[in-house]
Amino acid sequence: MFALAGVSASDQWPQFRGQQAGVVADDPALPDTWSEAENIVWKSAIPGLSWSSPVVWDDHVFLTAAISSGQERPPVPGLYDDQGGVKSSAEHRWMVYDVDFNTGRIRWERELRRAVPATAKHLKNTFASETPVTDGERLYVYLGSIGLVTALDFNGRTIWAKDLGTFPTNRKNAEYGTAASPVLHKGRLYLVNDNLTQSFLAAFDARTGEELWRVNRQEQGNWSTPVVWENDLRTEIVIEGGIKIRSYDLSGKLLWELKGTGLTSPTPFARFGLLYLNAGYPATFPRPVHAIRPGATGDISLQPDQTSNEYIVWSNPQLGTYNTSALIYGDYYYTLLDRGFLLCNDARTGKPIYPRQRISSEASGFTASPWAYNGKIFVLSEDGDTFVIQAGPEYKLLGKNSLNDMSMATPAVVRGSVILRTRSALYRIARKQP
Amino acid sequence: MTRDSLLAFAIVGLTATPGVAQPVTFTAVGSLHVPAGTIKLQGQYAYVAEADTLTIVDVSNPAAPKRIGACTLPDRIWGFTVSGSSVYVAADLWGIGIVDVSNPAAPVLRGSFKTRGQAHSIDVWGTTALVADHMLGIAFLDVSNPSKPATLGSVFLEGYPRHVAVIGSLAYAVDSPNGFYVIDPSKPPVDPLGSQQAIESNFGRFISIAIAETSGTPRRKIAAVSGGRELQVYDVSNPAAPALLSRLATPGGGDRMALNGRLAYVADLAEGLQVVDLSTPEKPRMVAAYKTAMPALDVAVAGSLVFVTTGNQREAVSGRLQGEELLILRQKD
Repeated sequence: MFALAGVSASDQWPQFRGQQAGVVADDPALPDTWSEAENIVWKSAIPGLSWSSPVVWDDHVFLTAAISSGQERPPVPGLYDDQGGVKSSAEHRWMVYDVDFNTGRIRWERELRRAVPATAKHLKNTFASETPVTDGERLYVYLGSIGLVTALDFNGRTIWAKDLGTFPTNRKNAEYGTAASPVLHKGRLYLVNDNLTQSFLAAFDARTGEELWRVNRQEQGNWSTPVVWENDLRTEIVIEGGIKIRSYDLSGKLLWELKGTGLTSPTPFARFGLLYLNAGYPATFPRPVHAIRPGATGDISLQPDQTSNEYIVWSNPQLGTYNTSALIYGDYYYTLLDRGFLLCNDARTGKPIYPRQRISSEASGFTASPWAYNGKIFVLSEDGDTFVIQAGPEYKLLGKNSLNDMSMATPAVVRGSVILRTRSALYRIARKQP
Repeated sequence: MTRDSLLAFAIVGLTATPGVAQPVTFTAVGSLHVPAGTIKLQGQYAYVAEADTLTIVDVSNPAAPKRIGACTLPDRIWGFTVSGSSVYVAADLWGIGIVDVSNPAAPVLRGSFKTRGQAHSIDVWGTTALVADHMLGIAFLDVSNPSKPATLGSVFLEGYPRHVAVIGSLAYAVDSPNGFYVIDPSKPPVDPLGSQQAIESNFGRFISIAIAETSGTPRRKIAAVSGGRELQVYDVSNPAAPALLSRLATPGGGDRMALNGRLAYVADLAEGLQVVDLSTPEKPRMVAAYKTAMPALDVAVAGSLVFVTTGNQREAVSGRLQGEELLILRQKD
C-alpha cells in the first residue's frame, strides 16, 4: 500500500463524516473563507450526479457517481413532499473515481454497471448516494439502486462483488431510492437495507466478501447509516429505524431497542461515552434526540411522561432533524435544522444553550451534515454556501463562503484541506500558503 | 382580508337553539363538469382549481353555472384566495402567482414569486400576502406591486406549513403534523402570537380554517379547523393562547370545510356533504348529510346556496382524488 510520508491514520477520512463525526483537529492550514476564486487548490469536474461524500486515504480521493445517458429532471433544493418518485428510462453508468489529492486529476475511473435504473428515486436523491468506505487497502462501495456491494483495490480492480438485489423504499409512485452507507469495523463490512420487501442488516468479510450473517429487520424504508459503537462495555451496531431503533451485537443478535422515529436519515455517533440518536421528519411528531448510556438490554423506550430512564440519559422530542446529522463540538450538541436554523444544547444533559437561530433568510435548505475545526462550525447549504458560525454558547455568524453550485454531500476534511463536492465538481480548499 | 373570509366572518355568529333542532335538507339545483378540486366564491363567480388550472365559473344563475375563463399555471395549485380583482395562487415548487381576473373571461398572470420551498396556501391582508411555505413557515410578501412581489420575512412553524387564512385582523395557520398558530399580520414577522400543538392530531395536506363567535356571555371566538380526517374546534378568544375545545371525526374523513352561522359544512369525500352543528363548540354534532354522486372534495357557502366540488379519479402520484364537477345545492331549513 502506498503511504504518504508523515501521514497517520488520523490524517485519513475513510468514511462518511470521518472518524470523529465531523469534528476535525485544529489546524492553522484549514481555511475559514473560500470562494470560487479564493483558497481553491484545485477544482475537478465530476460527471454524473451523486450526493455521496468523498472519502480520502493518503493521496486518493474516492467518489461515486451515476451518469445518465439522457436528460433527467434536476434536483430541486428545499423541503417539499408529494412530488412522486423520479423514474428514469435512460441508461446509467455507475462509476467510481479516484482523484489525486495533490492535483485533482482523475487518476482512474471504473464503471461498475451500465443499466436503466430498476427503481425510481426522490427528486432530490441520486442513484449513487451511499458514501463508500475504505480501510486503506480496499474501497468498499454499496449502491442500493443497483443492489451491488463490491470491494475494489486502490487501482480500481474488483476484489469481490455481490448482488444483493434492489428493493422499493417507499410506496409505488413515490419511491425515494436508497442512501444508507456501509460501515467497516475490524475486517467486517456492515450494511443495512431497509425497504418494503425485506429489510436486513448484513455482515460481510471485508477481505473475501463472504456474507457472514444476515438478520431481517421489521422496518420500512430508512436512509440512516449504522454506527459501530465501541463503548466501555461492548461493541454494538446501532441503527436508526422508523419503527424501532435497534442495537445488535457483532453476531447480529438484538441487544436493545426503542420506539422508532418515522423517516430516518441522520447517522448516530458516540461522544462522552454516550450514543446520540437523532431523526425526525418535519411533518411528523415526535422528532426525538436520545442520548444513550451503554449496557442496555430489551426495550428501553420512554414512557409517555418520561424524558429519561436508566439508559436514556436525556431526550428531546422535537430536536430531531430530517437529513442532517448532529454535531458535538466541545461541550455542545449542535442541531442543524434542514430549514436553516442552528440550535445548541448541552451535550451531556440536553439542557438548551441557545434556541433556534436562523442562519440566513436566503438559504434554501441544508442536507449536508455540519463539521467543525479551529473553534468554528461549518454548515453547507443546498445552494453551495458554507456558513461559518462561532462555536460555543453564543450564536454568531462569522461569514459565508459560496461556490454557487447545488450541494448536498458532506465534505471530507483532511490534512489542512476541505474536500467539498458540489453537484458538478469536486474542490480541494485550503488556506493559501504565504 | 379576502372577500370570502370577510363573508365568513360577517355572517357567522353561533346562535344556539336549545331544544329544537332545525332539520337541514338540500336540493340539487345545478352542476357543471369542470376541473374543480378547491373552490372560493366572490360575487357572481365561483373560482375553482384542479391540478395546475384555475377556472372561473359564473354562478349568478345557480341552475345553469357557466364556465367563463381559465388560466393554467406552471405547477400544481395547492391553494388560492380571491381578493378584489386578483386571485393569489400558491403553486407548489413554482411559488406564488398573482392572476388579474378583472376580465374573468381572460385571466392574466400579473406577477409571481418563487418562495424558498413548496407554496401550499396563500391569503392576503391588505397589501401583504401570507404564504404557507414548507421552507419558510408563513412567508410575508409585499404584493403592493403585483408584478414584483417582495419578501418581508417569515414566521417559522415547527412542522410543514399547510394552510394560512386571514380572518379579521389576525391570521391563522396550520402545519403538519399538529400545530395550530395565531399570527398578527400587522407586525413584522417573527414568532406567532400563540400556538397549540395537539400532539395526537395529524392535520394532513388539505385544510380549511374558519372563525365564528359564539352567542351568550361571554362571547367567545372559535376557530373551526378541518384536516387530517377530522374537524377541530379551538377557542381563540385569547389569540396568545388558543385552546383546543373539541374534535370530531366525520364518517368520510373529509379535509375541507366551510362555516355558515352555527353550521360547518364538511366536504366529506365518499360520504358527501356532512353538516356539523357547532352551537356548543365543546360538543359538535352532525345534523345533516347530502350524498353526492362522487366524493365531495371542497365546499363553499353563500346564503342558502352550497357549492360542492366532487371527483372520482385518482391522481397517479399522490393517489388523491381529482375534482371533476361543481355541484350547487340549495339548503332548506
